[in-house]
Amino acid sequence: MNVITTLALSYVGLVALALAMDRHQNQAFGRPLPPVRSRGIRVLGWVLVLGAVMPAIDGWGVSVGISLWLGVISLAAVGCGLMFSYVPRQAVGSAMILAVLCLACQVL
Amino acid sequence: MRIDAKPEGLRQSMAWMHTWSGLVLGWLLYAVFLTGTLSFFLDEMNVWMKPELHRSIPTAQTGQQAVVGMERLAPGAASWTINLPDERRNSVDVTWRKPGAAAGRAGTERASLDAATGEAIETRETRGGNFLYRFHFELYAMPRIWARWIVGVATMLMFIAIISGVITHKKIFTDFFTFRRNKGQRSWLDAHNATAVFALPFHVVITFSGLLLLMNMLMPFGRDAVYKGDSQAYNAEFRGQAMQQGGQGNNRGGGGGRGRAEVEGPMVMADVGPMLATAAAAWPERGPGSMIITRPGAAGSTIEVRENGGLSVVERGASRRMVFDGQTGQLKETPAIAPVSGARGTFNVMTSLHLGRFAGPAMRWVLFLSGVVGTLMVATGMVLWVVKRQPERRKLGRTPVGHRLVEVLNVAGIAGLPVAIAAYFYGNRLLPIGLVQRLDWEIRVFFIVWLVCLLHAMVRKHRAAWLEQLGAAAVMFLALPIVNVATGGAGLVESISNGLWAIAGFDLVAIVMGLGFAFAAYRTRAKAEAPLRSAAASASSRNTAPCNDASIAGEAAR
Repeated sequence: MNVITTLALSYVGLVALALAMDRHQNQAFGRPLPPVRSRGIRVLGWVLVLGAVMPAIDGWGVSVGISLWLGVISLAAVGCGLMFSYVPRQAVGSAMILAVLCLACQVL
Repeated sequence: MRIDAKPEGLRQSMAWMHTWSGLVLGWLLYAVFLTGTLSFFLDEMNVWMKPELHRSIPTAQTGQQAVVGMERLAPGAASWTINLPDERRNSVDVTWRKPGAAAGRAGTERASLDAATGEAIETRETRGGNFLYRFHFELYAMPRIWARWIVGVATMLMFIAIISGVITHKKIFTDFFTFRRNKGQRSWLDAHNATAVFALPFHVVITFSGLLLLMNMLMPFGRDAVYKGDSQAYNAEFRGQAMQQGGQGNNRGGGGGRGRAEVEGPMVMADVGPMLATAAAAWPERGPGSMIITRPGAAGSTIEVRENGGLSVVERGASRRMVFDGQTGQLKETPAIAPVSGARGTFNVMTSLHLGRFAGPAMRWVLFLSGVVGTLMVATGMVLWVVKRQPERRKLGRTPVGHRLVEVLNVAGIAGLPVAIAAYFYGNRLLPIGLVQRLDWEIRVFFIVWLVCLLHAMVRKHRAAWLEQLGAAAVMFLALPIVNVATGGAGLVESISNGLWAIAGFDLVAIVMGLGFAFAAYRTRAKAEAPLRSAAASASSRNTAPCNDASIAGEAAR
């Protein structure tokens, strides 16, 4: 289930990175967020995206793990981009669901 | 590049570079990308295209059954290579070499065995997925070296287009997640940008490693200068440590036992079941993938078990090995994987990722989906070229020949190639089994259908051509699973219930591709109707210049 964890973490991280940008804040919340919160969300996004490499390395070793991680980020970005262009208001919700799913994967 | 000699910025000149490096061989690049992407599932295509194999269902005893089958099929061979079934193959694929057989491929005989019984299965004459795989870097029916040069040049242009594209992209960070739909040219640009930027690591690696795989042909100068044209010395040093430590194992067991099999008396082979169990316990990640049996049935026989795929791309996906004694079944040695130098390691990382031979299911799907994104990137770029020139064309009042040429090639390339690939699969199933040169006819079906698509794109209006070819691709891919059942293959219900995921996966991907083409056709149709409706509305409200409006709408609809 490592690949699901990596995918979920990357997706949640990328949604956070998008939500740190004015345009996507307007799409998701209808208004921009204060700069302090944007910065916090951006840091969270980077931590999650970079952290997503850990389960990949855990499952596939360093070289394959890093390759897989980069590929998974690309696919998560496609999902994130589609989310913001078609149902931007559900972007946060989808990230929440995946975050829970990801935690469940780790617990089970 | 400006004729009026005005100074231009870096970004503008890069935009020029990007447009033309991308366009000139863009259709070839699209074909290389699409057939290459499908080749990540080469084994699966090969299985699907041999429906005779679909009844082979692996069991726990498959390894031992295969050895028994080989004793019947190729007694007295110098060596057997037995590729065990895995998630990508449900039959046992075997090769063997007779004593004194010619070196290399010529002396190798092959067969497929039923995984449950070990019996050889006679399959139809087909090139299978290998045709698409070879096409992606050697094209077809032209001298191999020419074809590789052409693909090499196209790859170089691709690399140029990627770099110049990144420089040209005005807002790579602020527009990172942006896709504005239903906005005409803007949407095409966003789609092109998004598919390019999201999978940029993949695009860079796949293109650069494609060049690396062809490097000795494209740039032989360094090698020739250092090794004074002695390419054998170069190859020996290039493979280096792998040769020394690999020994007979790396020759696929061919050399060592040649000619000696009949010298010694017969011997009862040890049961391979416990050996495979030992290997499976030692390699929990991927398990054993193949066995190389040297001097089968003779004294001094060895059985080498290899892991199914590697664990590191630095080592070129080299797999771990265990060597057993053929008579006693005792573990003799577990050869270590040779260490690699930094330069060799870098080359290995690049080329292994391109070839994907090491990859397990997760990595394979990631590579495949990234390839799909790359294919869409090329396609959207080509369409964007046409869309971007619509205003210019409208002002001109006619379609310049060059524009029309790009339009025709876009339809025949982007929509026509998938139609031709689907037709290749139909040919595989519908051509009579006994047909002379059956294998060549399958390939002829592919090229004939592709040519028909080109002619169709030439005679039909632009949008109608898109609509009809996308529709044809949709129908053909959606019907493939039905054709599969109807012509002797394992249908979806059967393949899923028997756990034959290679076959089920092919059918499911065909359905998804069919739905994708259906969606594209639906959007093309919706777009065709929208401007006509708005033109009709404006013509009825304003009677002043209806002809003019209608002609513009008609032009836009083309």
